[in-house]
Amino acid sequence: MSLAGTQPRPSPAPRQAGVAKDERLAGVSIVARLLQRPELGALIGALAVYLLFATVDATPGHLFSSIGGMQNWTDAASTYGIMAVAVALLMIGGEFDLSAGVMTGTSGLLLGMLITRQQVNVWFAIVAVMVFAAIIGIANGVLVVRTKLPSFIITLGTFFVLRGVDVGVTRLLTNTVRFDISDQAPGFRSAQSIFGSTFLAPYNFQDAVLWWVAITVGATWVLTQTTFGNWIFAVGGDANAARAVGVPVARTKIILFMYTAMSAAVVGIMVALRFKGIQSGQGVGLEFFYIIAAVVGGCLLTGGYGSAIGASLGALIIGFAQIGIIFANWDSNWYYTFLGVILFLAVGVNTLVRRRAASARR
Amino acid sequence: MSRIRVVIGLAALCLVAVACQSGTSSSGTSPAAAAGSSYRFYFVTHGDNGTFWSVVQKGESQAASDLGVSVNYQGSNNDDNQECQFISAAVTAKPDGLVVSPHSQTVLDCAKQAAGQGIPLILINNCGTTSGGQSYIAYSGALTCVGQPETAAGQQAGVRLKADGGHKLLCEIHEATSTSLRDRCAGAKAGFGGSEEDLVIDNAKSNVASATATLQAKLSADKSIDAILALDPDVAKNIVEAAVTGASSSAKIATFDISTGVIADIQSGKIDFAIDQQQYLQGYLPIVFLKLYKQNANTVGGFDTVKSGPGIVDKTNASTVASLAGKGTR
Repeated sequence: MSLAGTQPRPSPAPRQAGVAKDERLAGVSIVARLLQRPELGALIGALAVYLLFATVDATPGHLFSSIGGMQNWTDAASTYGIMAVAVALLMIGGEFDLSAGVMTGTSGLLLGMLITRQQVNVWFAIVAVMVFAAIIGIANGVLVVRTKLPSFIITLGTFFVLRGVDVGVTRLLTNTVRFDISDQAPGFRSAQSIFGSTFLAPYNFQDAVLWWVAITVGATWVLTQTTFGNWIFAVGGDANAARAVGVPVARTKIILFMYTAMSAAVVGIMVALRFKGIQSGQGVGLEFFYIIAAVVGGCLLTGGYGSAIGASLGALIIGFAQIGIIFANWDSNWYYTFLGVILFLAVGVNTLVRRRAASARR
Repeated sequence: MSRIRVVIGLAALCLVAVACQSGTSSSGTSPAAAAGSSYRFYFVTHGDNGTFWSVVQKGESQAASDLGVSVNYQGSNNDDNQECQFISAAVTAKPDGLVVSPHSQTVLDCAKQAAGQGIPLILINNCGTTSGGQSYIAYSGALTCVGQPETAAGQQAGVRLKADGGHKLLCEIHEATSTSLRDRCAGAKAGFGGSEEDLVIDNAKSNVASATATLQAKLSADKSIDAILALDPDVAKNIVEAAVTGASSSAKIATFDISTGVIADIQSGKIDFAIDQQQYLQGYLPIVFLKLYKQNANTVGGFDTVKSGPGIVDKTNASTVASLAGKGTR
């Protein structure tokens, strides 16, 4: 694949080593190159929000900036982060998935159903849930690609279908609105130790945090180092141009939808195992948090631009705000307002930095 | 292909048959009972097929067989329109009495019309006040309302938590815009008497992991919190328990409403007690009251709410309640 030359990224840091001195590369300092990274704005935004809450922290012993506080905000941010990375890749690829939130519930409930009703081994149930999620993701993708309707509409449909299925099936089977999973189920302990346990003994960080970091690193590698990463940028930047140079547009988009649904399944499995049960309303409304995290992290709503690290930083900002507001002892009734203002701030800083960077390029 | 169509067709036919059957059986009870010259009561709720309403239904049908009256129960699954249709169908049938759960002002207005036609009316479950500040009973002309006033229930929870040694109470509101949850916390504050704080974590039940992190942060930020009131059994069982463990807090947990999980945790001591609104009484008592009214022109409750709760489930009665819950009456 000789895609390097047609790479449609708006602001790629030129990667080819300057063998011969080329005047077009002359003025680009390392600082300017750093400034052009999409995640830099989010990084500065995250630092600003961190400093804000470290300052307004009203707890004795300044919990926000302690390791115990870190456990709290990483816990709050981790499940947003895992999803935000997937949603960011999908957004870079030019698509939305509004069913991503409710899909965490659907997959968790399926897990609960398989374990409690079919009495299957937890590990087998996990595999089945992942396969199921892949199928839902492929269905989303194929529908979007085939119908050429906006993914906003298609996945809104999926959102409503799954939301109804979640409540309907749970009610039908349990006569309540939740599945309780017994920790005596075969394979439960080992599965929980991977998906829903804690590490670093006195502080007890959630396993989800490790997953989040690993997924962010993995997604960043795919995005920046592989051909598939180039395809993602290409299909989101200009699908027709990408198709013209031989990028398998449909396949790329379908894989991205599949990845998003499977990430949701991982989160659903985590919630179900950690809390030994799952509620049929799980995940409803969270899709917006994922999209917000991705956008704060530098993804463009139009596609073709963004980063996985940025999306993770966006999720981190939400985690900071959620826990910081508690430590600052602000009135919890105003949570959404605080969150909104902080998001404005973060996006503002982000945009400012990006603009400066764009003008500094010349 | 054609075989698939036949199967689908058959399935559709079955569905229709089932629907019709359930339709006739429910309306079929009344004429049968009328033949026995006993009282005919209609019981219209916004209930679904969940555990809560199945207990109410158990109460109503037990009362019917204990008292030798006939009761026609209709649940409308939170659909106001449907509930009003059931009420007007009941009015057309000219019953000896009508029980309605006023799910909203709309339903209350429908019930009021029924009372206006001279049908004795008893409200259940939601014994609130209208936006004009009038009690539902006075507004609709009902004889009484059987339910658990939220503020009074919250107050009992507060009193009990105080008595169990609490100094600082945290009331966890899991839906920011629910008035009944706010009322419960206000009651708890009054009953607790000491320092109380509300923590709002909106949509906590659809975002358990992050709600737990938030609550855990709250508990580690304020170590003086030694009593937590959850307003929902699932919130108590999952979010509050996990946060208390995570923050290694020793706060006592109390909750509104019972579930099998909550009862088990009360027995094992993880949860201190649960406020039980004893909805069986909301099914049973209205039938008793209506019969007394028809037979002896008695009104119970002095045109005020008859409280079905709060009852308290704690370690002393948890095992009894657990076995009764197995029978579907708690």
